[in-house]
Amino acid sequence: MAEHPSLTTGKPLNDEERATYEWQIWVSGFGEVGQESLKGASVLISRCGGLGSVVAYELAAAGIGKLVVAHAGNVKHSDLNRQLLMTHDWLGKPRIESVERRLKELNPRLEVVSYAENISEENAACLVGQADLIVDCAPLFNERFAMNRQAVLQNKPIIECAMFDMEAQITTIVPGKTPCLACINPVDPPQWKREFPVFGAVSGTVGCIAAMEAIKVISGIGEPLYSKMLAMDLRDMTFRKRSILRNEECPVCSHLFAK
Amino acid sequence: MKLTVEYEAQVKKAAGIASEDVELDGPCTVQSLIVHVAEKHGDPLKPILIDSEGNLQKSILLFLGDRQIHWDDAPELSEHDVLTILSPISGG
Repeated sequence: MAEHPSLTTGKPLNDEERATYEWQIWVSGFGEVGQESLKGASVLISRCGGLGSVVAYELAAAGIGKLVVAHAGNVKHSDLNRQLLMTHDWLGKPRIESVERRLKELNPRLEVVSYAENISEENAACLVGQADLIVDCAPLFNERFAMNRQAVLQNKPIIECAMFDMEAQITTIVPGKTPCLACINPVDPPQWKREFPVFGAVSGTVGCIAAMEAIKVISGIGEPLYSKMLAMDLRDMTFRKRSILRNEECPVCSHLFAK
Repeated sequence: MKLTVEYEAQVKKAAGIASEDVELDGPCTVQSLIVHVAEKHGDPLKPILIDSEGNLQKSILLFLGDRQIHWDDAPELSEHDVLTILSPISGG
């Protein structure tokens, strides 16, 4: 039985799907009902780089019904240490084509809606509107802030995952229940740079955790990172789960908590 | 008063260390502890932590033990408290 309400109305499984997902259907509290929830769910992932590639691949493997993926640009050599949906033979060609091809190779039943563009103020409402849940894998805070605003406006959960060097951070936001991104990060951090040191195994670690958070929120199992930030340092394998606070004057979400 | 300060993400890189023990005369506030480590380390850590008016930069997060605290209403520190200073990171 689910431990909290599932996010979506499930869709019934066929025999092939029962066979494919048998091992995770055995997971305590998940069952066929949980798998049906995943099949009925849609998730927006932006972008599909080091983080988003792994999130998308794990959710495709887990049997999510629909992925909306957004990622601009062409595959570069420097993508290939971590962006696991990009391949050497696709160098110089659109990343989003590589993303869609790899996801469909893994799961031909998956519906993929792909956009060869990154999240912006102009397209955020449209992209967020196509999904039940968002996983924020964007490298720039203006993209993250645009997604957060739309997630709050459209009342959709958003999983925030991030990495730097051998460290990573992740939290799960539910508008009106937890701090939103603007509560946690009220300004664009001036020290954050577009290019930064990281291993693919670090982005992959937090990408897998983000996919697990999405599965938990969608199917209603476990305890998602609501009002908690998990910070990890893979240099010494320190994992810490800490409470985070709402900003009662948050310009994005404080109206949801007004008495 | 013996305290521990931990640094994470770019703050750790700027400090050049992951954590340090600090001994200050008590009673001690979170604000005075942060100003102390900012002055002790200087550049490049100090401008990441403290703005030109001596307040915490708005992008920096603080945790006392496992709980986030805000600069403006931070509690008084106790012996052996662990303060974590963290800068937001993103993805890609």
